[in-house]
Amino acid sequence: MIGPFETISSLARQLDARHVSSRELVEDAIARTETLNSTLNAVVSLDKPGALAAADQADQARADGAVSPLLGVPMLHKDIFCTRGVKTSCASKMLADFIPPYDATVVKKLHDAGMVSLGKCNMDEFAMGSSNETSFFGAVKNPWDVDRVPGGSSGGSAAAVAAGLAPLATGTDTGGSIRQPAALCGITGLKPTYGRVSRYGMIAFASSMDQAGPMARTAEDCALVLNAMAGHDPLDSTSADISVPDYSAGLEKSIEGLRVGIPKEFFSSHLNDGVAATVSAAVKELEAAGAVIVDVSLPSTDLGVSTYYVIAPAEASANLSRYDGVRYGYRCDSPSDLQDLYLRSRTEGFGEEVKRRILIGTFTLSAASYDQYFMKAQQVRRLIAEEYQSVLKDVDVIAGPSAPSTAFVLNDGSKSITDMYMEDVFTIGANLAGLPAISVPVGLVDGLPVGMQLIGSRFGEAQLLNIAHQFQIRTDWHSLTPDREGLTG
Amino acid sequence: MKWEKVMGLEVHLQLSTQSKIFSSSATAFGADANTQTNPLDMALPGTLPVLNHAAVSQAIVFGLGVGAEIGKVSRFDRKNYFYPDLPKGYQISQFFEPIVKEGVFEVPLEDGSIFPVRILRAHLEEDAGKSVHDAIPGHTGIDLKRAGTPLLEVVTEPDFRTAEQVVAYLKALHALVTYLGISDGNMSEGSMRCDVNLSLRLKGETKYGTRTELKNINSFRFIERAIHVEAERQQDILESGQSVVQETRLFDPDNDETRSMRSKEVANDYRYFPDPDLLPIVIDDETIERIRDALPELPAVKRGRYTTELGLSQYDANLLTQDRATAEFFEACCAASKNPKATANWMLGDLSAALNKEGLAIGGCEVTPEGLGSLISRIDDGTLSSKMAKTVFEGLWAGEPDVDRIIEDRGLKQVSDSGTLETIVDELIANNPAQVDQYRAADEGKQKKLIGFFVGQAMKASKGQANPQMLNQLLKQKLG
Amino acid sequence: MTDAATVRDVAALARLTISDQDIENATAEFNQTLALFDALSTADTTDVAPMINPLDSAQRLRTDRIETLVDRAGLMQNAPASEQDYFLVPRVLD
Repeated sequence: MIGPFETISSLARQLDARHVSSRELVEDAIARTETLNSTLNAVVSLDKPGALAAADQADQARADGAVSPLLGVPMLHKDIFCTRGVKTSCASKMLADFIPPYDATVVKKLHDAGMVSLGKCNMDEFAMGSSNETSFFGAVKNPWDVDRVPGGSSGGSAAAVAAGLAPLATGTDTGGSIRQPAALCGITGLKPTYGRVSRYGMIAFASSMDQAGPMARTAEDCALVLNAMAGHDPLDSTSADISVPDYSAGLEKSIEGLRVGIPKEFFSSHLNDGVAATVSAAVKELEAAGAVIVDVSLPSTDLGVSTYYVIAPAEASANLSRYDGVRYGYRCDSPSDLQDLYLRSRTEGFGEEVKRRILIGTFTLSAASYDQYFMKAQQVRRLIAEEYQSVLKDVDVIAGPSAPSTAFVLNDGSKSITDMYMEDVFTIGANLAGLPAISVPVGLVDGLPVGMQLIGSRFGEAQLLNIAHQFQIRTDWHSLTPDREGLTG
Repeated sequence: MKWEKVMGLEVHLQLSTQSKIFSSSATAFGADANTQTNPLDMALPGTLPVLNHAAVSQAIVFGLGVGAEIGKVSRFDRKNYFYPDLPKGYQISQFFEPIVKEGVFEVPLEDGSIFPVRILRAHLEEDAGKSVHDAIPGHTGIDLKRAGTPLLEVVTEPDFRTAEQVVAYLKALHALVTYLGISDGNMSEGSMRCDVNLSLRLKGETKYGTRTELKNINSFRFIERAIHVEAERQQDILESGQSVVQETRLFDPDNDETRSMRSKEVANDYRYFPDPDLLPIVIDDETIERIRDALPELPAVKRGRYTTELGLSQYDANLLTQDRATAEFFEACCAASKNPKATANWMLGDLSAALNKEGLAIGGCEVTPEGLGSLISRIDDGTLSSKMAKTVFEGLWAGEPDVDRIIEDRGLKQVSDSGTLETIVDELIANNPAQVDQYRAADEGKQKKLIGFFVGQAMKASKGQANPQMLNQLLKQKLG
Repeated sequence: MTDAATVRDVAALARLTISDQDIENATAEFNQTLALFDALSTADTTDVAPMINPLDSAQRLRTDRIETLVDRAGLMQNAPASEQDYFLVPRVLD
């Protein structure tokens, strides 16, 4: 009997051994989603006919002799990836009925690798948020406690994998949007190096930081998927022309002697005590596996949030100017003139957090503010990047918590906007510096998952996955599933 | 009060690439609305720009053509504003670091002198789409076919003082870009668009006055008129003690006035910032030298050659080098005729007149350089009289390719055979005794007139083919 | 810190409307975020070049070749208003 929490590797073996067909897997996944989604709201659209057809195709290909670790395995795409002929909303009223006429490169690559997409995951609107509460389609619930948030912006993807709807969901990470929800939902999520994975067809939030990545149950699974997702794309000028190694090949390497840096700033006042203790225990585990733990310092850690919240909204303010009701997307009723068309379509079509960020971004780019805010932030960005680089000369990876606390309560009125921004304090550095980072589950605090983050050097995904995998063969936090009625296998 | 016009120009040239600057859509002129587009040109979500190699090369070619410094590292920036023909809500342009930096462009003026214009910079950017008003009542239609076409914006220092200089610059720019093969440089088709920044100041003043920008003027004639009209308007304002408002104005040829453009932007803060979707353009010396070596001969160099080596006047040289097609026709024709001065005369005389009459460009007529060249040779070798040559030219114009055939078919060969001519003259003298006596009795001055009768008769008898010089000589000889 | 008038101006630049009921709150939130940026002035950025993109490579140049990825019908299928192959907006006065 194949449970809903099987890994991709396990499913691949079973598909290969003909113990199960892709069709069966997909039917089960769809049924489970239909049952659980009314509670979780993790999925915004299911493409049943498309998924079943693709499953049959995969089964046929397998029968014809095709062999691939991803062939016929069901998955979900964050609704930020354009999928041809399938609604892509970015969780916004602005794009609620938008049907792209083309596929994102990530979508195409995973499709070509044989994966079967079931549908699209909920997310924070235009990827702006850390709790998946800003979605036009309503908040996503954390499968571990449905009164709590799953994290964001890839909250739907994290919740879907955590609840066993699919073994893989794609996510995107601009300030922590893969790693933080992965931590809050107890799964494994990888943000690759900026430029490792194509951004073509991925609806843009902050162009110099956005990166797509896998969210799955294990590092081993993430490696399999990254193999298919990564690679140069001629349609993306910021796609690195660097060959893709086999990320699965180096997983078994020993981490004896590997230097792991623990920044003291990551264990500061922001951090919840329970999380601190759990992550520290995980670090001990790495030490037991042979790693050398080194104290390091990233003094600009706190500056990171200010830097990020100048740059990301600024880039976003320009990226979102195309949503004007003219060629696609939401258009207001009976516009009286052009300006009315723009003003009402945009004011009605965008949610509050998106509008807040467009405003602040527009402001920091304006003539009077540019030098003081935008240019300054870009300079501080370079300082932060250099700081990481310098530390990574001394250690192989940097380790710490992925998020300052466990999943917080939905509609937490006590959290101000800037409180919410501080959720990203540990994850933001990797986006500013363009470095790869992974979050792995390392335990529970009061029944809620905690994640440990590992940050590597540029294009050092193989090493990150290796360490994460070595951690996961010694522990079984990643095997935990939400102990709730209806959710357990 | 003596006022001086101070003007600077911003010219947008559409580059002659196959595909657009950031997408691989076609750029050909004349296609249907909203064809030749890709998801990027429509600014669909998730689309990204990738820079066209040819746009960079053509920009470098231009820079070398005006002797400018090429920016070894340049970037693209976003210029943010809302307008329906600008699908992304920002234009990708180069604000901070342009690909072409300072240069000097030598402009030949009508009187033959050279007017040097300082080029401040030239940068790459993408074109917007087009708005079509009232094709559908009460609406404006947006056509994005043109969106994303590569443009090179050439900015000058405010070196211009007269409308004549401005027009001369535009003509020379047209010549240069057609020579270089980087643009059609055609104002009426929109592949060359000129904006004039104009301000006034008192003669002798060094500070600049407030300027207005005149946009979207699509002919040389209108530019001259617009400059004149706007300068007058500003003069009236300044002389009444008021200030000129810095704004963008359109020229209305029907009412012969300039009008303020209703602002496209609520407030013109373009919020320029470096585009994070594109990486810096890095150009090495090798690339620049390779492009330099492949440049065609520039108009300025040709002009020098025509005047010093071929002995043409500066005025003629300027006209013959006004565009590549004309210069190439001239050079091919010289190769056939071996007579540059005569070639110049025929091209700037008969050929030019015929082209103007039909409204044709040199490439659009039937006359070939070889055809005209051999026509000139036949005059030079005595086969054709100048009068007959004009008839032959008509044949070439009509598309008959071979000069000798035309001469043969129409019997236009000049009669230079002294025997034949003598016979004609002797007959004439024999048959017209009264006129002969009259001639012999007249003084030199009157003789010059009276000989006309004999020339006319001889021409009639020879069906116009008598060699005029020989005929005259014989007549004088025999009449005495 | 900024005032409501500035926030309204910024909104207009971004083609967003803030209602009279919301303007006070929006201004307060705006200032809250601005306060977050104060920390930046503490960093010494003398002679530090701004980082525009973390990649330090040069722009790749594309071959000048025509390729159509999606046809006109596909590109216009999401148009809120179109006719005779044009996208329609209310009549623009120039």
